[in-house]
Amino acid sequence: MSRFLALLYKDFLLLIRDKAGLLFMFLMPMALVLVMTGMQEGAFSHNTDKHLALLIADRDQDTVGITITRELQDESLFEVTLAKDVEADMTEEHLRELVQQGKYLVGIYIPDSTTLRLRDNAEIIIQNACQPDKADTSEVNEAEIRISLYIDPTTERTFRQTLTSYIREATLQVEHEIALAAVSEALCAATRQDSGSVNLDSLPTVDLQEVIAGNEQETDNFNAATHNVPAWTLFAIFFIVISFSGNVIKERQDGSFTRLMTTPCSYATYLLSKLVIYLAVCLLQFFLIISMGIWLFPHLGLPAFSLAGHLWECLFVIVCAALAAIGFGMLISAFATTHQQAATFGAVSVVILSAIGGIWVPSFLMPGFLEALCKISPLNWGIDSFYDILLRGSGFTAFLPKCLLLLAFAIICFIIAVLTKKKEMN
Amino acid sequence: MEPVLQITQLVKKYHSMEQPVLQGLDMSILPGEIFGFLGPNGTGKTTTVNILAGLLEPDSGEVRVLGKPLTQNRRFIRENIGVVPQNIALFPELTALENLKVFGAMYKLPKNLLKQRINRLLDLFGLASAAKKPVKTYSGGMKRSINIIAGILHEPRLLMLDEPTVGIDVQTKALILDNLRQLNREGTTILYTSHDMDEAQHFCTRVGIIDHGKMIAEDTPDALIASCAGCTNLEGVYLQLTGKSLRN
Repeated sequence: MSRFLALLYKDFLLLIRDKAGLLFMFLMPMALVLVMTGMQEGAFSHNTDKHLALLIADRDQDTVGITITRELQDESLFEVTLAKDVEADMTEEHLRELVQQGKYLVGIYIPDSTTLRLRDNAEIIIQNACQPDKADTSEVNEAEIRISLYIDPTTERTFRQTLTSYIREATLQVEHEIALAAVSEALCAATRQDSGSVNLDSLPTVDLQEVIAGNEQETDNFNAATHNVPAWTLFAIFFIVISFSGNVIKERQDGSFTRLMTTPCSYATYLLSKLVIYLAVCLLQFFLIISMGIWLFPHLGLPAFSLAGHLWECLFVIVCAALAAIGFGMLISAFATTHQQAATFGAVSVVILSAIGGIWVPSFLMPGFLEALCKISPLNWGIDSFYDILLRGSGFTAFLPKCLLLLAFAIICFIIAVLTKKKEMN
Repeated sequence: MEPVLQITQLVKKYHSMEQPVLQGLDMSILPGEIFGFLGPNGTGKTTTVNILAGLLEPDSGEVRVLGKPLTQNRRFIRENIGVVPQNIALFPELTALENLKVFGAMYKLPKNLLKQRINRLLDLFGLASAAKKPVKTYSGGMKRSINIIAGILHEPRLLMLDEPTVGIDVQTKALILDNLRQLNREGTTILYTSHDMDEAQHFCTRVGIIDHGKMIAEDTPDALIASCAGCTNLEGVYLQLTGKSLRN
């Protein structure tokens, strides 16, 4: 058996006999990815996939009421209940009570004659403007035309904003149609043409084209699994620093490392065997966690994770991240004198690096200073590489610089650790 | 006859200490000797062994092992020496057999030869039946025996033992010393450190006493005892040379 294979055999045996270490390295991240995806998917679905209960009391029963109701019913985000289906003549007060009781997230009250008042006002204003000599003697009704929204306090701000945008858009659309119809009528009258011969409503409108900057397949695919599977795989990979540094310190403390160094075994061979074993651990973690994401998640009602045919790119990122984690483990073991020191520092530093690196929540949700700070975390370089591959559909050149940063981090850690060991020898 | 080990004016100073721990150490060991390297705590015995094992760099002086300068021939020297550290230096979670396979493989012994030597030495030290148990479950004496076996698997030409019998019962100590004598008869030169003067007197063919980083006496135990007025054993010689004040 060659020296390298013997050391590999030794490191493998030590690894599989460390039951607590195995739990930390495999079960914990698998449990974390499951729980975090479940939690984030729940929160995500609350505002997107699940139907949010709306109660609409349409007392208008005309264009405004009908348009708002239709627009909201057409949107899968909302589960619309019409007040008339709950109670024949629901008052605004009762609608408010139902929301207060938590039966609906939002109650929308559209008062009587909303459309009629809009239309009357538009006609008066336009007629007065176009034909001042035939000015209408009626006056514009200046009382506010108001639609009331009663909102459950637990409703998120983003959801409220989405809903108000929908309603505002629907009312603007109606106002626009009414105004144009009134102008068309006024023009017909002014030019003595038949009613309906001028139709400004057919004016072309500006269309919004929504294109997500990414590959065709990976465009609108950001969900809890897309973030959590690679994120917690990276967390698991960096968490091996505890096992790795603990293992190195233990061998230093029990004298076995010193003894190996009195044999023809070189320090490089010693390190290489550890590197290979822990690299294998990282790859195994990756395959286990993505397997969970691909095959187990759909059975648990969670969104399935997809590599979208980018296995090799992802593996490249994982190898770079694993080398960075092993280097970090080496660095910790060079400075820590006991297993407890290494475990405490390793755990705390990885949790902090993962938090600021956008593992727990994507970095774009962080406040400005944290979003800038996240760029110093190796875990951020890893997760951003995954975003490049899985979401942005960017090529090798997009994520290569981040992978090079990971490798540079690994090399710097290795160099510091080896220099520290040399200093110790002298 | 060319010495197996030749040390000339060896100096080593640690950053944390004011005085060098080795202050021009001279010593030589001839082939076939069992050399007792004796001295109070902190006088440089373990530092010397660590330098010879390649774990520490000397500040100055010359060390030749098996006729070759140490600094330029580390690989060759490591292949031909055996080191048995003072503390048990094994992988506690591995069995004795696994430990010996790993340490044996460092010397690139052919698989069959390694297996044969492991079995013979385990038999010799009475550990064959416990070979497949994790070392952490062993008694102190069993651990010491495996600690020694791991250092002699490759039949080194120079074996360095740093207090190999400390903290074990009389029977195990006798067994270990018998086996080391047998190894010496088969051609291994032994450098041995100990605080047990009685053991050193009976086990060593020659002893050297080090104090304050220098060799202060070097001869056979009998010659040292004879040259010391009023001394009846090696312990008397040792105390007369190094004094009775406590050392740290």
